[in-house]
Amino acid sequence: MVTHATPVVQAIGLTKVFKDFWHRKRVLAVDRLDLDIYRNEVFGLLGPNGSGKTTTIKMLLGLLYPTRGRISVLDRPPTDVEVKARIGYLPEESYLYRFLDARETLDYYGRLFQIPRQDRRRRVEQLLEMVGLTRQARRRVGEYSKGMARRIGLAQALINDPELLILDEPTTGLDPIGTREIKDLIVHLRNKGKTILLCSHLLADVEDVCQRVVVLYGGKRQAIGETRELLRQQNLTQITTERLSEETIARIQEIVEREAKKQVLSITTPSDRLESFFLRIVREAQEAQHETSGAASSGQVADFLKGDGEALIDSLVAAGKQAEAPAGAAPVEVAAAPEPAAEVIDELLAPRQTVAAEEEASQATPSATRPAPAAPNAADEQLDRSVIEGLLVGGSEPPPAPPADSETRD
Amino acid sequence: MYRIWAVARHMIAESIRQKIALVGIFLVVLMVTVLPLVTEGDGLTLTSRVQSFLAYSMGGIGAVLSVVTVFLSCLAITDEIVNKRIYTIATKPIPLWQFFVGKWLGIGVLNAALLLFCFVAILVGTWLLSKTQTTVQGDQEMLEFEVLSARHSMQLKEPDFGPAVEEQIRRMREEGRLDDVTPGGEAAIRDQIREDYKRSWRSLGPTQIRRFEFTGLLVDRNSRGFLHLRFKPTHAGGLDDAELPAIIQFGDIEQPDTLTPQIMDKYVAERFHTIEIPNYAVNDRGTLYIMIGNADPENSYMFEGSDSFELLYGLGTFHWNLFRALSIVWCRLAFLAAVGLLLSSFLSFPVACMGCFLVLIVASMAGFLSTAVDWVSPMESPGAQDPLWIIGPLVRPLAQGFIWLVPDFSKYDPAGNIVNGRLVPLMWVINSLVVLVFIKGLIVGALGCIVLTKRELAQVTS
Repeated sequence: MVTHATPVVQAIGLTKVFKDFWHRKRVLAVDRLDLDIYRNEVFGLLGPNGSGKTTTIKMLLGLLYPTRGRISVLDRPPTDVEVKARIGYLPEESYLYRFLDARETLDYYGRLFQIPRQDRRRRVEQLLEMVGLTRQARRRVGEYSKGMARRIGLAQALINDPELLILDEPTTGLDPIGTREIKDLIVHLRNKGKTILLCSHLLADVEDVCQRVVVLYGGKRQAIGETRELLRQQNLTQITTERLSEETIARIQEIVEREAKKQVLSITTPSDRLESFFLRIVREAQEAQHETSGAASSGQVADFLKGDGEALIDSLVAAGKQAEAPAGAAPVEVAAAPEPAAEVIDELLAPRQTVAAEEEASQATPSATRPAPAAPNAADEQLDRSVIEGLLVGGSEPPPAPPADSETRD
Repeated sequence: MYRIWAVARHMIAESIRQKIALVGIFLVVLMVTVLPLVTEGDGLTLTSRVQSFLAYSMGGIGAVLSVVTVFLSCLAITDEIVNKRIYTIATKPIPLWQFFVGKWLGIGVLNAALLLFCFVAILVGTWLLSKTQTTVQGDQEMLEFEVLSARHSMQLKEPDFGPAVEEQIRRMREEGRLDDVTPGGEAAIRDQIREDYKRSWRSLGPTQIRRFEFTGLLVDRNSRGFLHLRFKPTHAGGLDDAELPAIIQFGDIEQPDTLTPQIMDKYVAERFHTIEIPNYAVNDRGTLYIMIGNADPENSYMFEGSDSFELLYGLGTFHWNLFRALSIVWCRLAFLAAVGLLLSSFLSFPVACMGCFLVLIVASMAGFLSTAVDWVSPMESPGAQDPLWIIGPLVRPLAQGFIWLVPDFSKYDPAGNIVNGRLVPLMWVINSLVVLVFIKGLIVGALGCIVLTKRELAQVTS
């Protein structure tokens, strides 16, 4: 399906050749790369080491100049200061000022965005809370572990509430909880209308959150498209049910072989994912309030990243929880019990996403909008539920049209 | 300005927490506390001891802060690039020229703070030293007058030697002595003749009397104050310890109420002597006449150099004088910071440091280098060979441009004024600010901004 959406990021014939001091061609880092990233999508940039991912990102940020080709970011050249006010960038490593503490670090970056003092302080506190560094805010960043530095790096990328967030290996060095929180945050930001460019080696992360991906090798584009479409194995079918007896399995196998003339390739009992197991154990430890000198995230998204409406609802929810609490319960206990980020976000967002999407759709011009592909995981479940509900009532609105394949746009 | 100030604040915090500025402060504190204890001067007078202290502390502060400035400015941008923190800065909405200016401003503010600290430290050190007991009679008064003051210096009004010089040149031409001389050579001869006339005018033959004058004095002749004549006679025969007898009288003969009593005394050659002159000796037109008679029937003496015969009068206090002197030092450091930042925008830290120290050396000996470049200039006579052979036309403009751009720091060194209790004029401070900061500093800074804006900030990683 061809659409006329304006890409947030567009690269046409992007080429980068690194030359040495004598201007001899040394490395062809990026070779005639065409790329469109649309508003409100999470786009993955994949490739092995030296495939040109980071070079591409650096050209998108104006840190490197293309040898040939053209780039536009938010309809402007990447070196434009106005563009920089609307993007957030997390480099592949958190390059921070070792002598500053976390609060000073965020305050400095906030000043560069000319965020007013009061607002800046509020954002800094909220971001520190979000990335779980409030208790470590007075420690110098140079003393932080790699994961903690990664968290503060992420916080600085979000200080301006960016429209376009460029994340280069955002989960490197993070524990599974931090990884989960970042993935939840990415989904949350996408739901709030942000555009995210994610570059990662961790394919599971990309698969979890990205709607479209491009795979680079040798600086060239090898594949691009919807993540689900690229990963779908068209020649296989998987059925998942509750536990079956051996007899039932044998009968199903017989039916498949007899009726469909197909061979059953494997029948397994799925095990819990290690990630889920780990998260559960740590959550229990958090609930027991074990001491830790590391990051201790609240799992909450910073209010300024939620938007006014959502922040208001949060405050009402919090007030409601307090009202429901037993008379003798200390408020500290309510606040001290951390909940996993995914649950918090899902709970708070689920009833409002539709409204927010409708509002955005009504405000956006036709040329600037594009049906946003649904995010995998939580968003997928919602889509599936709506399909089922539609079938049950028999006359509901059909689900949104599947997103256009980027190849057809090209 | 908001972003520039944010970078400046950050630069200051960085300098302090990375201990570079603290090392500077430590060295200054060490210098100012130790120097009063170890300086002895001539080992006799308190005046020379205070002068030594001021000379060493002014020189030491200039040197220490120059080194601190070189390190800070060279580290300011290279560190950001090497440690890749520039990635998070350049992707924020701050133009890189503002980042550059912010760094410069941060170093400037830090230097100002350090100089303010030095100002207080020198004042305290001087005050403590000046309270030391002295056994030499009049030493305390001499210290107050010759060191702990801000005296303005007036130079002698010279007669117009032009007509006499031209007459001499005319005679030489008539005699054919200038036939083979080039126009440049004739100018040199003219200068030499003028210099001879001047030397002759500043000399006193045996029993000769000469009247010198200082004009344009803004002195209230009815007040009870004093002016000071400071002079250093030189024996024509080169005897350093010769005692030269002289008769001196101040005042205008045409205005009798200005005349002072005659002074007859002997003055040791090659030493500075000071005579108090009452304000009433200045006539109504603001002119002071000085009649000097050489009372020696056999020997001549002269006053060589502009500072060997000058009129001094107090025009401010020591602490404001010191403040102005340190302001000039700040201007020097501001220029040096701009150079360091320029070099650090495209060179590594060690190379930038080397370059910056080279500029510092060139600035400190700019006079010598200027002479050297002139020396390798081709002779004006036709057919003369260029000392630099064929590379001369290429190298010479570069060298001349470099020497023009790098200021002569000896012209911006107020240490001598502070040591001798001379006024550091406000115009000197303004001139330093204009030349070192607003002209040369701006040119260097603009080059740095262009380099930083145009270069690629990221490096090859694949």
